[in-house]
Parts: sequence; structure tokens; C-alpha cells
Amino acid sequence: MAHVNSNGVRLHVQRLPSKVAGAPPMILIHGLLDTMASYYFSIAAAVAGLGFDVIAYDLRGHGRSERPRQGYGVDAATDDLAGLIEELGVTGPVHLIGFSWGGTVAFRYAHRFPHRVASLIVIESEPPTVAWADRTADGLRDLSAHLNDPEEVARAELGALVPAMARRLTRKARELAVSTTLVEDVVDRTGLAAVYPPGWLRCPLLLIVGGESRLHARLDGIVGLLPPCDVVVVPGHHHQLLAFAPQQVAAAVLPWLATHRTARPPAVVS
Amino acid sequence: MTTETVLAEIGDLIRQVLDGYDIDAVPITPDTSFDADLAFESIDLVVLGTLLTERYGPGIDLAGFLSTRSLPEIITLRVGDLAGYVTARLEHA
Repeated sequence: MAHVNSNGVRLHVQRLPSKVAGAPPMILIHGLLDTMASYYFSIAAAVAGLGFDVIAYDLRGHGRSERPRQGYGVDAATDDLAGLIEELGVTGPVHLIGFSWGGTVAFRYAHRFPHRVASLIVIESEPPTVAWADRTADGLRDLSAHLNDPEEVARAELGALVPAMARRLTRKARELAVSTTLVEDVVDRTGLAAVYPPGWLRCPLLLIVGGESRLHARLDGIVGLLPPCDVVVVPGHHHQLLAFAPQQVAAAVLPWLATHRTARPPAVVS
Repeated sequence: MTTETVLAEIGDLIRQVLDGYDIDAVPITPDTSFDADLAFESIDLVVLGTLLTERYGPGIDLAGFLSTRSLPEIITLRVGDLAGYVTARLEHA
């Protein structure tokens, strides 16, 4: 098992190397209370097969990464990602895929390090804004209210969780809520913008949304925050697209990546 | 390599993944469920996948194998399913 020390935290990392020489690096960022397994079970192998050097890691506090008490905000997560890229010796541009919170982290990284990101795919994610933090706080409050009732959590996710997943989700949420400051950190509004200036994101962007998800109901507002981008809606699905619509996600991701595999980050404007 | 040999070796790898798991308490058979019997977390399967590739070579692609299965099928995966996959891949290598 590979671990990398990044930003003072020991992170669990796995690579699915491409058979193609000089394959561009692709970093997969999972969601809250999840692990890299969400990608490993779904699109990781196909993305590697497309000719990417796939790097998946567990966020701090998750999976087999270290669980420090603090440092769970979007900027700390971005610093963890930046440190990981440096520690792995990746010096060129990277491609990023993020699901849910992982997509929000990917947005933040692309905003802070525009010269490092060749392309960005976000699944059921939006960029970090004050309004996003407030909505996320509401969602975490809802989850907290049902931590002792996995079946209610499953119902709250509109039937999109199988019971075994709901039990594990609530157990992990309890563990993290007790042993870390994650709940407070994730929704910390410090440094978050209300809106973004035009041109804030300069890499090619693909947004994938479940047709029945809460985010889809606000899709126009989300797209309004973004530069021109490609949007794919997966009909009939809720938030958990990697778990329950992996083939539809792959059908959106793979052709898009095939055309953006050689994308380069925008030149640095001084 | 026979399925029995592969099964025994996978048992050793499972013990590594779970680090301290008492292999005599729950004997590992083809019917052993990763979820129900071994309390495997999803991330444990990822680690097992890397150990399998280290042991048997890049032809053993657990990520590729699992990506052809639905989540309920992954949750109900049994050791015998994995041993069968490894054995078949080794035969075709």
C-alpha cells in the first residue's frame, strides 16, 4: 500500500498506470464520507485504458489516509492535493475528476493553480461559494439529525442508497463528527466568494449531473457561475452517480477525455 | 494454478489487508462474503486489488473486473468469485 506525506498528512494513494508511454496524469478526488473505491469500482480502469496515468487517493480522514483532528476545509483539501502532486513528482499539467465535494476541491485547485490544470471533470459538484457553504451546512445538519437511523438516511437520499451503504455512511459520519472538525471546516465560509469573476476558470470543463438530483434543480444557477462548459445530464439518477450510474458516467467521461487528453493549461498571464 | 491454490493465496492476501484478522475464526471458503463475513470496507477491496496485481501480475485487474459489476453485486462479492476470476485470467495469460 502506498502512502505519501502531503501537507503534514499521510495520504493513501494508488496508481493505475497507463500502458501508454508519457500518459498524462489524471487525479481522481472522491466525495465526503467516501473513498477512492468509488472510482476504483467505476471508471478508474477505463480512464487508465484511455491512456491516462490514473492517481487515486483517499482524502484526509477518509479510507486509509491519516485522520488528523483538523484541516477539513476546502483550502486545506486543496493544499493536500497540491502537496500530493508535488510529492509524487508530477511536474506537468494534470487532469482532474472530482465527485461531489471532490469536485468542489477540484474547482478550488483549478482556480488557485490555473497553470497546472489541463482539464476538469466534475460530477454532481459546484464551485465553493458562500451560498454553496450554506447549502452544504443544511445538508450536513440533515445528515446529523439521522445519524442513528441509516434507513432514514437512505430515504433522504431518495432511495439511491442500498442499506449496507447507508449503514456505513452513517457510521463513518459519526466517526468523523466525533473525532474531527470536518463538519465545521467543510462549511467554513472564510475566503469563499459570492460569485466568481468572468474567466476565473480557464481549462476545459465537463459538468455531469443526475437528472433527479438537487443540484440539477439549480443547474442554471450553477452553470451561470461557470465559464462556457460541456454539461451532461444523466436522466433518472440522483446524486450518487458513480455508485449507481457508472456506465452512464463513463459514457460521458471517456469520449470527452479522448478529445481533451492532449489539452494544455492556459499560458500564465502576468 | 488450481482454484484451491489461488483460494489459499487469496486468503493470505486477505489476512494482509485486514492486518491481524484471525483467519481461523472465520475460515475462508469460496462462499465467504467480503462484506457479511469479513466486514470488508470498499477501500479494503482496493488494497486487495493492488496485492493481487503485485502477486499475479498486471493481467489481474480488479478495478476492471469490478467495473463490470453493479454496486449490489460488489457488496455481495464472495471470495470464490474472486478466486474464479484470478484462475481464469491466469489460464488465459
